[in-house]
Amino acid sequence: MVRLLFSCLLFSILLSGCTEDIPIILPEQEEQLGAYVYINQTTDTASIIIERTLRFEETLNENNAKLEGSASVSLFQNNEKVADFEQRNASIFYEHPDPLGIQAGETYDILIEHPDFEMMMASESAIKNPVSPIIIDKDSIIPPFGLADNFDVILKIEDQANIRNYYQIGAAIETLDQNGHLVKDQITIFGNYIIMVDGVVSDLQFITVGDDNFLSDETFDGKEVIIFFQAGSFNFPPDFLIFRNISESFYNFMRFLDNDLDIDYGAFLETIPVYSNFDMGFGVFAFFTEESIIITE
Amino acid sequence: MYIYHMKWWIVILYTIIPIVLWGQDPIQNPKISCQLDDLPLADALAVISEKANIEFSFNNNILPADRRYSYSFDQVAFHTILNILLRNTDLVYTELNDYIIIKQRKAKEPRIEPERYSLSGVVEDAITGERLIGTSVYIAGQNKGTYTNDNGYFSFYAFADSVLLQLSYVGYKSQSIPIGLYENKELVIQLQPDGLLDSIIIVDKRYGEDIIVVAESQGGTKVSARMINKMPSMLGEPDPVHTLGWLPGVQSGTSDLGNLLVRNNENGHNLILLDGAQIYNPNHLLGLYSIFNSSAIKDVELIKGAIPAKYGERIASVVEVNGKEGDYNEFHAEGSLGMIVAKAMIEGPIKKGKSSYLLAGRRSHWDLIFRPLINTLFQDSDASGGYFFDDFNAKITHKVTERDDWSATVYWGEDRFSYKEERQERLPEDPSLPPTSIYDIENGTRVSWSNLAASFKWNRRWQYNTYSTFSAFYSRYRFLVKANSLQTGILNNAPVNRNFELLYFSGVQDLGGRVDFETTLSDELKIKYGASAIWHLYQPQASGTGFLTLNETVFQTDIEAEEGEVEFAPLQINAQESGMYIDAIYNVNNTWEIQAGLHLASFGNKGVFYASAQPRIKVRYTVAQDMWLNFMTRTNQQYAHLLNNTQYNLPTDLWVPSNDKVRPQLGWQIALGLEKRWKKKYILQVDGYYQYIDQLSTLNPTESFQQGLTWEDKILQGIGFNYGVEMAFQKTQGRLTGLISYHYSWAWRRFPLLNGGRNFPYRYNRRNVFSILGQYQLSPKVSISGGWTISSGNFISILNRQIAFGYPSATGTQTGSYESDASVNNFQVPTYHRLDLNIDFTKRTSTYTRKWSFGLFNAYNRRNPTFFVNNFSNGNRTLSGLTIFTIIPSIKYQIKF
Repeated sequence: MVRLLFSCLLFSILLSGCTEDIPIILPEQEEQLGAYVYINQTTDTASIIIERTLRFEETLNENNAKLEGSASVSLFQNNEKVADFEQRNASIFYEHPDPLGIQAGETYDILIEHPDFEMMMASESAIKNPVSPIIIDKDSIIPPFGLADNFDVILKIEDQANIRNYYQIGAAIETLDQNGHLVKDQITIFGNYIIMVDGVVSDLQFITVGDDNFLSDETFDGKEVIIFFQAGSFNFPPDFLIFRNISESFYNFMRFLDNDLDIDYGAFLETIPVYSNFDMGFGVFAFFTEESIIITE
Repeated sequence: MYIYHMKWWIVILYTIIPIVLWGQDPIQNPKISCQLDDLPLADALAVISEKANIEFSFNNNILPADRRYSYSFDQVAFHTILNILLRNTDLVYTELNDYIIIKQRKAKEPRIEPERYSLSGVVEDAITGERLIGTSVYIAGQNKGTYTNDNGYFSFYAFADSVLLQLSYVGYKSQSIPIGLYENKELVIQLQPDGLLDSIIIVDKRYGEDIIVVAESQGGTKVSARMINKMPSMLGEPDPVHTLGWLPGVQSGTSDLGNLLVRNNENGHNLILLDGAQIYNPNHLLGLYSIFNSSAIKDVELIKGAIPAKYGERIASVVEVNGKEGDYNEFHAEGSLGMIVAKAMIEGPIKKGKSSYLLAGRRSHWDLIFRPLINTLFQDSDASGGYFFDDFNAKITHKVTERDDWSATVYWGEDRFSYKEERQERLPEDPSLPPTSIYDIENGTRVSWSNLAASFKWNRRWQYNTYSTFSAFYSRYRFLVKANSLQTGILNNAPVNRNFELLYFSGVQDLGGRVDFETTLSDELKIKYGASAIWHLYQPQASGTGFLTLNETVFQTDIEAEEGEVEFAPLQINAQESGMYIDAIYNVNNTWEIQAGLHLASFGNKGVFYASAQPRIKVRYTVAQDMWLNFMTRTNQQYAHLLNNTQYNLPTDLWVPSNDKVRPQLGWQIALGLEKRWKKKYILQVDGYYQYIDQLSTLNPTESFQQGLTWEDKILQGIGFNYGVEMAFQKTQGRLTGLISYHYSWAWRRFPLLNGGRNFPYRYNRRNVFSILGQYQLSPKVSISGGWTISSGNFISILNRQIAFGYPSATGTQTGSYESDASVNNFQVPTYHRLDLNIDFTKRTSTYTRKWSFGLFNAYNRRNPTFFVNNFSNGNRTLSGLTIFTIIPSIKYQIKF
């Protein structure tokens, strides 16, 4: 009996695990625009990329994604045009030379037109509140100031109650630019750090954020939040922590994107479409405010 | 909030008590005993006149000359007898002084009708004493009847008369019992098993006959354990959940893995109960088997249409699994050995005829076979590991009196995977050089998930028309991953003794009670009512790592380390759920039947309170003899959410409660169906349905359980709508029995953050699903069964676009690239089809029954992909379908004493 069972089992296993190729036939997709419009309320400037989508078989790079000709990119507030953005050197980048005069809490529309594509539009509200107060506990920096390994710093965020805030945290070093000026460089999204958030609320005690540097205060609304970092290895000792309040679409887009980039599509997982707040095409229209904190001496 | 609860209770009590008290004892009048032997009416009246000492006055000419009466009355009320004698005549009577005057009925005067009395009781198996669910109890002459409920109880009203009570139940000899129904009667009826051969039968709970009914929009479809054991099955192990997959509108999702997707709803939209205790994860081995041992269950009922008001917790269906009662009279044992599972069951009386026990256990034995093989093949390795599952069922039942009985059920089951490895590291590796590091490494991983469910039920018949069940239950599901790496020795010329531990834990627990009443108020009206309260403890996430050096914690997250042990401090969320309900079943006349119900529910979680009223109605219209139209509509609100970040039945799936950020899921469904029967042999049912789901929950598909912030941040809520047509055609009698089913459906989802906020098809919306299931009895010893199913492929998401992205860095805008599909679920995988065959050889002797079963799963070796992998080579891409379940033969030996 056991021998018979065993034979059947082996037979089953030998026949299992077969693979078969299935041709993928998908309807042809029209090209669409991709737009990434970030407005930094702290500097009152915008960084914008306008490009086209590529078919799966095309090589993905900036040159291929570049549009034929220039797109028209305009910012509106209450149907009043605030700014027109100009293409920079026939690249995918667009800019505006003057401050935009963004008003906190107001809703803006971005309109993008190009003769070869359908018009894109998105709405987003500017950050209503300035960067939340951050208290840095310098005594918590272990070892003090700037050692790459075992970098440990505690930040306290006094989160505002009843307002859903979204945060982003990064680190940067200072380097000299071509003119010999100190500039921030090497911003990292903490790929080698484990960020831990002490929610100090309800039953929640600790949450491991991992290498994800986007936070929302869904959980710790109105409570004091302590964030501290644990470093494994880091090529450069960070000089700054970058702390941003970001708008909801920024948060949604970056969380989807962050996770999308982490996924190895070669395995059993399937693709997930990245969030977009444009009515047509891809991309995001978002606001943020920014604050840098020096953690070196 | 609690004041609300109090008000509801008061309203219910004040509503129910008068209803229960209504319609009690009949009129008091003299009771007489007499014998009427083929007498004309005048003589019959003379006999009862003499016995009751009441004079009649009538004209002989108005009495029917051709009618004769034969009755035996024993202490029967005088008016009851008189009404029986005068019914169906054109005579009426009035009382005048001490006389009763019988006269001709005037044109608008109503005819005399006898009183109606309640006939109630329980139906049992005459051999084992087990209560029989769904037995048809029927008085043919009056066209009155009902079926036994989940505890074998029945109650209905009929006209006073000498009646022939007819009982029928699948696998039992039909019985006709003469009864003088001259007062409310309570009976205990025993049916003898017919000893005939089994056929594939799905019992229509409403009629309890040897009739199968599926695809109904009305009520539950009950699948008996006998059918489950007859069905072709994977690797020879019968499985109740897989069996339900043959019914129209029910599918298993990813091929052959045991999801239970009802009318294109999600897996977490089903309320699965084992003797009243909720089962949160009904799967062993990633869904290849359910946790339900077919040797320990009596039947499974799936209610996908008109969910009774008793249930309000889920929006798709209710799956009630009833545990088998032990034999009240004799000891029996059963054992079987299949390709994956070995199992054993014993049952017998504790006190003969009064109480019984049943114990059943099973264990997968794959690891026992392969572990020695692996050890032999890999002798140089110190690695070992394995996987197995086991489960255990116990049930005790006790009949305290004819009116009272109780039962206690316990289920425990666990899946366990373990891996262990030991090795030594030496640096430098060159043995000629002195070592700077030499240390031992012990790596271990253990993954386990388990269900524990226990319930206690007390059933009581309070009076001739009221039946109640008081029950208490507890259930627990938990999932645990524990991995550790211990390093001891010399590292970089220094002693090292450190342990890295990783833990992941999630779970859910329920503790609750409920009370259910069933009162037959008249032959037209029956009500069911009750209340329930459940305390939930959700533990949706607790993960952490501990890095211990010499028992000192270097850092920790949500774990605490002491004495080298890592302990949990998991997130715990308490929630309270309560409900009250009333269901009224009203037979308007011979043509119309209406069931209207209301379920009131409340849910509290840390100061957040939800309350809902969930009405429902079903209407049955008799179009012609053996032909009915069914209509139903219902609303359900679901406070618990199942988060699943894969398409498979991983035990990592999380149950989480509604709170201020995650709102309850709302389901509204409407259905219309037609049912036609021919010659008691053939049944056709066609149902159309539409369902709308609001606040449909899903895990953000880009999130994982182990990372990120809290679970609330990972939930997306949107809407869903499902609609389609189900058809079933069955042959229920003869040597060949079977079922043909077809489901044609659409299902859509919409979430603001997914797919640009546009509709996309539900992943498992298989547009066409067709299946044939049959059994043929070749001889008394040999039977064959088979099932063939074919369905449209389900949907998956395939990359078809690329795009660069911009991102503001500290130095300007950085660019990168990502791949995006234009829409979610944009690719339909190939058609699925499969043939399963089974043949049983049964030998019965006076002492034992032995059965050999041989099966072929996927008999013609169709390569239905279970997983898909993207292939990219030479600029081309294809999708590789990985087929796990090719042709699988099975053999099983079973013996019963």
